[in-house]
Amino acid sequence: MSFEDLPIRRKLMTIMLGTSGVVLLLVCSVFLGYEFFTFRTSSVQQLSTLGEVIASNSTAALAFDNRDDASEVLAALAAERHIVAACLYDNQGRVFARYPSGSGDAVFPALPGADGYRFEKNHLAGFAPVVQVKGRRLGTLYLRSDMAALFDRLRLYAVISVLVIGGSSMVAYVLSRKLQKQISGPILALAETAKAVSERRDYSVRARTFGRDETGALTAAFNEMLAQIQEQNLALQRAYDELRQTQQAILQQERLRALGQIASGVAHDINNAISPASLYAEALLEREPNLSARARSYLTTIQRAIDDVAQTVSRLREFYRQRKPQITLTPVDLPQWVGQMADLTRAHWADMAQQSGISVEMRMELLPALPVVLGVESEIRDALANIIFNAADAMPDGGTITIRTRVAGPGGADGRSGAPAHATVEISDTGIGMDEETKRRCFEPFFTTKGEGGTGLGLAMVYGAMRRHDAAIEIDSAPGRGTTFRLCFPLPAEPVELAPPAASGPAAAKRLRVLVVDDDRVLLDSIAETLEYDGHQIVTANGGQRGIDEFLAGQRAGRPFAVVITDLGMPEVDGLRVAAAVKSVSPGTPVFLLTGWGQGMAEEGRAPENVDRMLTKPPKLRELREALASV
Amino acid sequence: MAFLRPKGRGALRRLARCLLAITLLGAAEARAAAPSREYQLKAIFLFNFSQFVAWPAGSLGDAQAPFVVGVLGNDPFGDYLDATVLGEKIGGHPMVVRRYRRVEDVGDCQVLFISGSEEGRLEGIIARLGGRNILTVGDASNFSRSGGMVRFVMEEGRIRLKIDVQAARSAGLTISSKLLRAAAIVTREEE
Repeated sequence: MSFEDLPIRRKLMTIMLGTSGVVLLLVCSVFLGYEFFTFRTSSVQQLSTLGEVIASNSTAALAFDNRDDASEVLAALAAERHIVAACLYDNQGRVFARYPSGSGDAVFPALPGADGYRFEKNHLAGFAPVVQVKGRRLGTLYLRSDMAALFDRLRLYAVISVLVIGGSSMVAYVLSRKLQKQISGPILALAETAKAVSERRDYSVRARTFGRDETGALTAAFNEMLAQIQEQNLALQRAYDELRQTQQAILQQERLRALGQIASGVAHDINNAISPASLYAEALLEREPNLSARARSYLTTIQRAIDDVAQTVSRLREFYRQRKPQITLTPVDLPQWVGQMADLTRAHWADMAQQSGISVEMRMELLPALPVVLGVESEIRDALANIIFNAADAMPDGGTITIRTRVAGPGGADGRSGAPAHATVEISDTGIGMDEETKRRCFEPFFTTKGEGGTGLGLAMVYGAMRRHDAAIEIDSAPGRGTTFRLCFPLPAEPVELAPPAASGPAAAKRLRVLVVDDDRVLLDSIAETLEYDGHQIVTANGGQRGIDEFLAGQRAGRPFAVVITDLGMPEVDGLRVAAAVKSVSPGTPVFLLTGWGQGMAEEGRAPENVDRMLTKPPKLRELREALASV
Repeated sequence: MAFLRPKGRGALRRLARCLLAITLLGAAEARAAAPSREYQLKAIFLFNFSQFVAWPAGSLGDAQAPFVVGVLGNDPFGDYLDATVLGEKIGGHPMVVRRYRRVEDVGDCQVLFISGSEEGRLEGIIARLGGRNILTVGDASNFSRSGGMVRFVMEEGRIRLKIDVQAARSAGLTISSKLLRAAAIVTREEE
């Protein structure tokens, strides 16, 4: 492991111990070196002093040739254990006395050398003159000292050095263990925090600040950074969530829009096709009293079938439709409708369940005095039915469907002051529930959990209907915990009363000159014939351009039309251009637009300019009469 | 003859001295027989005493006054003693050898060797020298008894010294302890 990879604690310890160790070693080495050299010098001095003393004491022995005395003097060297050999030469260079007394000649230099002491291999040795009176040399003293003293001394110092270094290192170790925490502690804490952040992606943790030094500043900066990241993360998450919701909403709308466009086109063609059949059947039933009972029954069936087709087509169209501008909301008696829902849907939930051998119950918890809301009865009815069907389907093992109504918001039961007042219809089941994914996607067209058995259109239609009513939909659901759909209808600012049932009697006989414009010959004829029967004077024009020509011709001839009924979708010149032409010549002449896709126009925001009234295909004789009567 | 090893002056002086000594020895041999090995040593010892004995200050006279090694009676050294002291100086005083026939002849003298020939008259001689700053040296058996200071004694073929410190002290002489250690200390009464 290289030094760079060591943990910072060990790095610090190594640096501290290494530094103190090296310093101590250096000090000891210098000390030892100094000792070594001074000891050598002092050794020489000591030996030379000793030599002087011995030499001085040996003068008489040499002068008077007394070997015993000389030997005695030398024997005194025994007190100096480092002196390993000594001898006295007489003034002729012969060995006169020796120490130790028994040594052979080989121990000593054969002849005295130059005065002074020098280091030999393992010894310090040298010669000193023996002089009593200055100028008269009596002989020479040879002394040899081993270096044991020096070595002893050096060994002692080495041992002391080792002990000092060892002891200091121990002290340094203990101290550095304590002191390194001052530096490594904050860094380790910081590293720990950084690790926690990177491993757990938890940006809410904060590193502990120990002091206000550089590490403290680093920690503070790190914490600041974490706070910023956390904040940005949060903002990012929020932005992401918003984006996702928006994206989903847009996707949802786009799908519904695309579907609405398709449905609109299909509806137009079907409506055109069935319009004559509808008109003729109605006319026959009304005007031919001599029809046989069977014919009358057949016609009634045909009329019902056409109504069913029209109904189906209109429902298709309703996928995506803002509130129909020409369809005004009427006061709806919610409790009445909700109360009837059990009977209306019983065939689905009770009978089918019985066939499968399971039991589904329905409970009602209705607020008796639920306020009247504004809406379209048929849409609300269809929405409730759809939700009840789904509830029944969500309980393959049976269960209970509960329908509750209540009032919330200002003046409501729960008294929530902030929310706008609204009436709530709640449909709960005890079924399998929905997971998050299903909950999120259940309003998408063609999304279904029923496999082949579902169209995926039920809740999409509920969604469209609720949008048109400005009503909110809430879902409470979890897998295995059942599902609650909550429809919250806004209450009108002013309480409204239920309108009395509209009386629709036969139109007052009012004869008008009417121009009917359509590119469909059959439809044109059926309208002309039925209206002529009512006594109106009908002029038909097959196509937009012809319609305009016809109208202008009538104006010029002084026989203006009282009303123009024109189809909307025609090749080349469409109904809107016809209407514009009519209004440019005679602004007072009412123009009725007959269309199978008028809703499509409304939803795209194109206000039908120059149009006084919209009539849907297939046209009902009753509606036509009503429209003409209003002129 | 190389036992004299003066420091310094060099080979030339040593050579000259050797030549001189040889000449003198040659001359001595012509007059008397060369001294025995014993007396050669004793001559050197006589010279060496000058290094281990301190004479009272002023007893040597002025700087030119010689340091006298005297021989009383028959001279056993021949020319050897002269050769030994030749050219030597003690404290600046040149060393000379003087020979005396009688004690009355002894003048200024620092070391006096009393020859064996004077054995019978020793007491008289020493008594006469009493009070003078003269180191008396002899080798007669009754030398110490007679009041002599330093006596040469032969032991196992070696010359040993017997010194009467009392006598030397009475003569105002101080004998170095080093010399005393190399010698045997005696008193007149013990002998």
